[in-house]
Amino acid sequence: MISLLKIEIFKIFKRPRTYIAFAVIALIIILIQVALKFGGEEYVGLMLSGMGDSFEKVPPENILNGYLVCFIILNLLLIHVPILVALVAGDAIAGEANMGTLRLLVSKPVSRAKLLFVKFTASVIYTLLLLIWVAILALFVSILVFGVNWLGVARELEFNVMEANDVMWRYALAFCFAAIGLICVASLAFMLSVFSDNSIGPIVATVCVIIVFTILTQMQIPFYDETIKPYLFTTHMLGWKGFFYVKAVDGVTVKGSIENLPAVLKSAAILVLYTLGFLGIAFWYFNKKNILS
Amino acid sequence: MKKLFLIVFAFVTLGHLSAQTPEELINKVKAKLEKVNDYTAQGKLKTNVIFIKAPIASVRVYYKKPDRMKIVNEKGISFIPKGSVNINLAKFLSAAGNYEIVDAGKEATTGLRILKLLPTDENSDIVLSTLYIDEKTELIKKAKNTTRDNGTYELEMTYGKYSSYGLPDKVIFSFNTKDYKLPKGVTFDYDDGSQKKTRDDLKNKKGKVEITYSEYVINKGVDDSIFK
Amino acid sequence: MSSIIEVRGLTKSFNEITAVDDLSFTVNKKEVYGFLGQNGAGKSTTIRMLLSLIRPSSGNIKIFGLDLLSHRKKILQRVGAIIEKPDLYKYLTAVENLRFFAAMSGLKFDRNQLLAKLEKVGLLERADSKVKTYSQGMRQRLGIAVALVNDPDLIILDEPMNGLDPQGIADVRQLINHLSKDLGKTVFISSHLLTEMEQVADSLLIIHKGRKIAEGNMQQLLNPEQTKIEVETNSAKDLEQKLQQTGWQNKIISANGRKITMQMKKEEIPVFVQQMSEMKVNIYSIHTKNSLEDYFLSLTAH
Repeated sequence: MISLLKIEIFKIFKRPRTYIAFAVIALIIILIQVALKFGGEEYVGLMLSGMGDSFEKVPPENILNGYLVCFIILNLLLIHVPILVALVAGDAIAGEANMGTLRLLVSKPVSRAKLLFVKFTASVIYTLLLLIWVAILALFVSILVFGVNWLGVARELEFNVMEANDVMWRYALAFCFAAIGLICVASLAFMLSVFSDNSIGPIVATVCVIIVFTILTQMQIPFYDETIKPYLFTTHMLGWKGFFYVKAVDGVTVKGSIENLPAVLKSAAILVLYTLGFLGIAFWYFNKKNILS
Repeated sequence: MKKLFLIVFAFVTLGHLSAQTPEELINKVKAKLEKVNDYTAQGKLKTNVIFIKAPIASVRVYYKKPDRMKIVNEKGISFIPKGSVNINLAKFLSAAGNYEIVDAGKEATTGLRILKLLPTDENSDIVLSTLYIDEKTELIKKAKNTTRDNGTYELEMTYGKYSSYGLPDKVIFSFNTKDYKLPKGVTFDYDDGSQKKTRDDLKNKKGKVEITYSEYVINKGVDDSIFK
Repeated sequence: MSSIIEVRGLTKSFNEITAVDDLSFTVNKKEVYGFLGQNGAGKSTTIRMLLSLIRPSSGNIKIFGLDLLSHRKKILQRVGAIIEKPDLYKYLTAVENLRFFAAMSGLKFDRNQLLAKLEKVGLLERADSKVKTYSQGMRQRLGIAVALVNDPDLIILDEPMNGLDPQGIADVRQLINHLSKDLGKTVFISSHLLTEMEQVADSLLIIHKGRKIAEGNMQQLLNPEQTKIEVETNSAKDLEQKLQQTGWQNKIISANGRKITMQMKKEEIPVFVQQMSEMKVNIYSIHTKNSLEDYFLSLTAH
């Protein structure tokens, strides 16, 4: 099993598109960092605009630090990283069918379930490597360039601030959560890959699903909010932010607190359920599929 | 019973007789405050505003006679209410323009002398200031100021070590908060499914900022460049 | 156990279409078994069922005496296959491809062993080139190397000659002979190229519209009565006339130009030749024409 897994990972990294994905992420992050370095004040102004005129201007250099920049980057990568995950996961089986190699694979003395498992695990490893890459660039490089300070998070109805030494552990948990979210995306793309004989279909379909669901999640139209929003996995993918929502007593942030940890854990569990659901369908269908490619 | 009445009557009359005039009191307060040419102080700033959750911030406060004041937050994010410059009463009291003083008696619960000040200068920021002064210590314990542009705010002072300079240990600054209004779709918030406050819950609330001072360094000189 | 493949009552339906209908056959050890049929007759479907790519609607497949459904892994470890044209990973080199498919068969080879296998198919020099730089013939050879990487006892070839030039076809033919005669492997090969099948197959099964219409040993199938010969002479018409007086006239099918076509038993051919010689007829050549083709067409005509 391990040798098969190693080879599948080897195959993924033999394709130029894999490196392009890493390069695209680096490019987007660097662009955001450059933009904030030179125009960060305006963005900070936007963040604080919620308070209107009530307060004196906060020194931008205090607010615009590595922790905030990372937060902004993660916010903006909401769509991009899932697309890049879909690029590999959606190609897992459909790509083999397209290349004509699937029929050879399935006629080998490896069970179909094992084949799927190895392929999916390879996609997951790629996803995690991509996320680690994001973490290195978005968090550590931002800290190098912008330094550290307190983190201010602008929410729709309030502004949360936490001390500098109250931030790193939140990022550690946030990235773990993001991993769960991205694995969920991978499983969706993977499931669609099993149904198709060419990889464009599953990749585009996954991206469309994410875009449409994200719009429904964010639109704030009561009809959708009450009916389908709680069930959309994109709603729950935002759960990583929950680690940056704090509790307060008399307006003072409680260090080390999470406003609603049970909700975040629930979102994580829902994402895991979705993942298992997608994979279940993939395994079931692939097991009975007639390989005609 | 008659004896008690006589004693109370005498006491009240005597008390009234020894009361200072508003002008006298104000001048005494001013004199105290004017002893301070400048100071640098360490402070802890705490916000209690409905739409802000923030840790207690360390700030440095600089003051230079007659009207320069600056609160600096070296590391961290803190929210200093606008008009904080006016937290310094010395500035107000020593303002170039003059003011009318109206004696408003005493506050029943605290026994503080209430004086209302109306600046004659039409361009003054403060339109009306109501001061609650402790006659014995000649310190302003409370102030309610109505400003031209920034609404009404309240100050509550607690004094300790530095009372001889009229410098408080703690100032609680209360004000009316404006709505917190961030454009929708900017924040991509995580909706955890719990009952949320609405925008209406945020309207017309009072906010409080508390500064607890420590280590006043008084009259040791403060560089002008700090106030730029 | 001398039967390598045993198929009983194999049926496959896709929605309303029955692609394979109650098919039964046996392939013996060391045999080259030809699986013949027109395009769309059900050959590919049958082969994919043998390789567990398609699940049968009903019926039973036994390979090496084991049931395919329950012993799939054990069976496929001893099987090598080329399904239509060999599709390999174009972005990998030949060595990488070979290593990958060996691993899929549960085998691990070091680089030298892999190079040795590539040398056998004449790809040693290009072993480290990406397959996308390969010509059609080279890909074919690599496909063979991949099919043989696990030294299989049974080799299944589905239309292996499709799209090949004459050299390529000859190579495949040579390979099949080598596998069967030299290495003692069992080869199951499907094709619609009758001439080729005639040359390599020991046994045959003809499938038409999903059903078996003929099966058996080549020699048994091809009725000696059916042997067609084509005789090249000075003038076919002249010969035709000469033959009028002899008993051979009934055996004439056609006479055009320099070629006369006749039909007779195989044993009669030497007799005919001798008689023509006695009659001083100039015979420039005698060919046995596509007897398999005739047989096939006669079966599938209705």
